Amino acid sequence: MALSFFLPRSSAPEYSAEQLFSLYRDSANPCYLEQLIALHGNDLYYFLLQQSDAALAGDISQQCWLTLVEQRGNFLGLSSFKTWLFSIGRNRLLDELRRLQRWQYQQSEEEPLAELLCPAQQLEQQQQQLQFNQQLLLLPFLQREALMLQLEGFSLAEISQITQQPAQTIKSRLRYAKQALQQLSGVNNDNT
Amino acid sequence: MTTPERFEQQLQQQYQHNKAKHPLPGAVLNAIAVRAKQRTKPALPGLWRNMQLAMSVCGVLLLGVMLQREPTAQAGYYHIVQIQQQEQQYQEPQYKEMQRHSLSAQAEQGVVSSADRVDGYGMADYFTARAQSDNFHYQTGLLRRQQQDWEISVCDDLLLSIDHNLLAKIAIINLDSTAVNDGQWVEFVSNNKGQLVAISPAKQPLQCRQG
Repeated sequence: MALSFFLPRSSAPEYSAEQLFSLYRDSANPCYLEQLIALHGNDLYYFLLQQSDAALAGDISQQCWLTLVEQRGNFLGLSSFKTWLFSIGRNRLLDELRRLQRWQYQQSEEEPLAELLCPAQQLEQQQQQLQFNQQLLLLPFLQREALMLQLEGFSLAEISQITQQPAQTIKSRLRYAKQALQQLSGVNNDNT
Repeated sequence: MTTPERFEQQLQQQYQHNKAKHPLPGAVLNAIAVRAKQRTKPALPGLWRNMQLAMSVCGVLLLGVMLQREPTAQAGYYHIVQIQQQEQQYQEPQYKEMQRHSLSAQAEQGVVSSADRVDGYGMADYFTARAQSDNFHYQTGLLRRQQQDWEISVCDDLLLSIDHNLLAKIAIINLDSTAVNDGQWVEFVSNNKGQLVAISPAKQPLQCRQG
């Protein structure tokens, strides 16, 4: 087990992420870090994975958690721990994409996917009944980001906080993202 | 055809399903674990550093206490005034009172008069409270060297035998001490305890009564 050096989880009581963070900040006990990672490690990694690739997602996940290890005073409790964690992850991802010159998604952020694809492509994709993951990858970066965050359980306000965009912008991205997915999966009803 | 609610539900299910298939890689977990483990280690050096600090403070305090108790340390000297009857040691000349002023590491038993720390109420206070002359007594006498020690005689009324160590101490404090010589008239100052606190050259010699 990768975290075999940690204390057995069964011996620890159930804590919220914020409580675990406070305990880890004050004690530096790896047991609490393990529980934090167990709570949100996979969530963050999958979010980053959908926005980049496995290597980058793993690297940025590691950076985020190491930030927590090295600078335990960074989280001030102004938002939920998960919101803070995803904010860090998202910012690092954008920085890294810009550094790698892979950031090329702004142009299409407010446009529905249907307008980006020619009718032949839409028809083809619908016929192929693309897998969910593949459908997601067809979405523009920012639409996919908003949708992923919503599916991850974040509220509109929290997504707005993570992405540092107005709530109205997030609502538009969600609407466009879902319209596109509905088209790809054959659902015609508008769902915002 | 599915309803929007069904679509949302499917979306959420597919999302959770896909997420479960892509957990955080073990290599990443290992790297975090290693770093987290390293971060717990500085507690020991921190403890060691604090212990060193505490030991240093204790050492300094102990040194201070030892210095305070050290007999040879300057702060440990006592100014002893020993008043003796003239027939005990001196036959001539006749003095009404003889005093032995000395500097000793410890107060001796049987001292007739008083003993006080040199750095206590004594020489240092003379300079700070110089204006309040009521606290000090000024007398003029003749300073003479007597082997290693010194004597100050005030006519036939008083003979002060001064330990050379004490004179050196007074000389350090007394700014005019460099001018003190054998056979010189000096003004010497005593505090309320009778301790000699300063010596300076007298402006004029003392006129003793004849007979």
